[in-house]
Amino acid sequence: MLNRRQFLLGSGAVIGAASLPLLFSAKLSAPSWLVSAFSNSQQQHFAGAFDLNGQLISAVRLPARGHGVLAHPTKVGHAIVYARRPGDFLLEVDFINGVINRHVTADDGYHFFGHGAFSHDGQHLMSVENNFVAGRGEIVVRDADSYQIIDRYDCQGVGPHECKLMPNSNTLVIANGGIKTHPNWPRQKLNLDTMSPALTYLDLNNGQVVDHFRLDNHQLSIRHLDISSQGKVVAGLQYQGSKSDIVPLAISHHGQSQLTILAASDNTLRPLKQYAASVCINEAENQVAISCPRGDLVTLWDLDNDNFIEQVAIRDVAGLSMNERALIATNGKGQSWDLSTAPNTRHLFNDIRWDNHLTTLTGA
Amino acid sequence: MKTLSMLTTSIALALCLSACGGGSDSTTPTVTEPEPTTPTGTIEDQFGYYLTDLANNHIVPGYQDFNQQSVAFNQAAISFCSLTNATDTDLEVLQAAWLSSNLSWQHIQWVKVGPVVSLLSRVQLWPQTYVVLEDKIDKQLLEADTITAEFIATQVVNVQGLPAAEFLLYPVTETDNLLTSDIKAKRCELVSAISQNLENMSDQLVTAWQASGDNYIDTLITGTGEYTSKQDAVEELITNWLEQMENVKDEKILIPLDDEAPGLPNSAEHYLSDQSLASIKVNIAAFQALYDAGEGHGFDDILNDFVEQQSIATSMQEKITSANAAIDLLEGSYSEALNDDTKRQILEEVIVSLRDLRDLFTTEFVQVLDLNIGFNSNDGD
Repeated sequence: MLNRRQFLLGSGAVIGAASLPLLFSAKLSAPSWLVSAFSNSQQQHFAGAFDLNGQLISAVRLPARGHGVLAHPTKVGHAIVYARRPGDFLLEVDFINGVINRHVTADDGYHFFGHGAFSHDGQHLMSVENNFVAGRGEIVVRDADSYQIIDRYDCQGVGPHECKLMPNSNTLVIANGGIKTHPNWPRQKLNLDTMSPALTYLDLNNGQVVDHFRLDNHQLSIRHLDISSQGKVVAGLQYQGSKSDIVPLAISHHGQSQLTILAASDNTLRPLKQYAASVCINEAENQVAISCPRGDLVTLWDLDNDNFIEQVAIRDVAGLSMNERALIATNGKGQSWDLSTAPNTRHLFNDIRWDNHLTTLTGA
Repeated sequence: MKTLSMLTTSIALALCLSACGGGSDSTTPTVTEPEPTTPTGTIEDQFGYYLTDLANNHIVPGYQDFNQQSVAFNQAAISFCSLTNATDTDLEVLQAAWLSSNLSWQHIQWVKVGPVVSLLSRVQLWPQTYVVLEDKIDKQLLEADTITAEFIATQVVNVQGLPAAEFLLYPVTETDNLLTSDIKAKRCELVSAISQNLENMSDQLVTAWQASGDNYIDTLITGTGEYTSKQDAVEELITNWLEQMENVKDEKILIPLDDEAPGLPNSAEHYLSDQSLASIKVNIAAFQALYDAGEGHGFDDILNDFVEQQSIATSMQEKITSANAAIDLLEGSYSEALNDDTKRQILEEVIVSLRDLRDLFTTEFVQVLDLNIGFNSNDGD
């Protein structure tokens, strides 16, 4: 692993001018940081923290490409970095010092799907994993200090992806993507004709699935989600059917008997190219932001009535996160965008390709 | 070699503009960057030369040609619709004008940056199903009082562009025929509105790109505006190229080919006119221009002279040549080709060639040039 200085001085020279002036000052002045996996032009993979001034705080080298990042609830400046599927690692990273504290490997017969969630008290870490021997998705519960496995819960579906914990409840909401994969064929989708995605509610008190909600169109894979403080779930979709179909980008659910489709005209939906990456609720604006890297757009939706509001053009955009004052987006071009400002403030990180997801964590 | 290449390019461009009758020297000056003399400087400089030549040699002339063909198509529609007793021959003339306009579009169909982004679906919405297209066009024919280009431009994109015109010019039933339909005047009105709408959109594209217009060419070749650098602009263009490669390989060939004869001809791009093969040929031919910047300072020059990766340059050229050679073995009807085992084998070879090109493109080619192609948009997670 590399600390920030080693990283900057390394032969890869992956960090450019935007980050060079900083060594320690930023972490003292920054109230919150943004964290994301990223790759460089040498196909090397990292996780890095940066601030709203476009300063890279630290970065660590990953064994392979990362995916989701989860802020650690009890360790300031720390986060869990998950491997991209079908990777077999999760890392506890100290972004203050730019070091990997723990490297946890999935058990034999398992790999990570790239996302997880902490329990409300921060004592447990729930990871979404593929039991590829049995061909089912599981929530694997670990002790948040020792990372020892405590329990495994059947998601009652294949290809679960992102999960989050409901506010004020011990219920985990799982985007059961429905797509069967196997590490022997790492990026192939093995069941597109029979896939059956669902939004699943799992009670962590007993590991039982308490509810399942499906869409009529079984090829709309439910992939990523966010939950409001009032318990409204919004989930982004990735369509596996014909390119000529015009399909919704996202669904919401707030206690109803069925899922609600976020409504928009065909002319709005078509350019989104059937693919949502990250979902991020902005309660201050009462909006939901959904990134669409294939359409080069961030779309904004009304949190209350699910209607489309507007879109912001950002090429190859994927990462979204609310920090304390703004909605921040990142893209595969190495840019970060502060969408709260007009015009949107952006910073460029040289030779960095920010990966799918962005997370806010408290700095030092 | 470079000087000769640039000179050849200039001559070719001048001939093209002259022959097409399009580019007016006073209104569409060629935008240039300093010409490279020796392979020195930075890769960013190299990308600047590439962008300059690609824009001047391929993209801008392509839009100009599309404009001219669209004007001709519109004029043909006006002429046809003014006839009181149009004949099959008259209809064939109109169909030929549509085909020329369509093939011109196919040459630059791959471009998905700049002014065309907001017009793409309007010029050609594809894939779309016959049932949907029929439904949208019937709605116009039944409900619209007077159909003009301005009116059509406000309607759903299905009825605005080349597929809608094809639908009207190549009817499935006699009742929909422009010569015999009970509402042939209404159908003609719609054809004319669509052709005028196409001409208007092609006008917009030419104006938006040219230096004397909105000057998007300058944005592209300097890597400014929406781009963070020239490399960024190149990355966008090659991402467009990759997308088109996959589109041609999968949507235009693999899906219609299906597992066995007769294939799925109704899934082809131009299933009504049966002109899909001609479009595919033009699409693949454009890959050569994308690679060599229309015989200008292309990726071949950058690979050979700047990064000195001659083997990759040779392999890229071989695979582009191979794909073109394979598709050039076929002529005529696509539906017949899909139903002929010998021709199906050739189509399989085209797919293999394109797959080989894609594989080299997405590995050694982008790696040696340090280019990033759609990091998140190609992720699929």
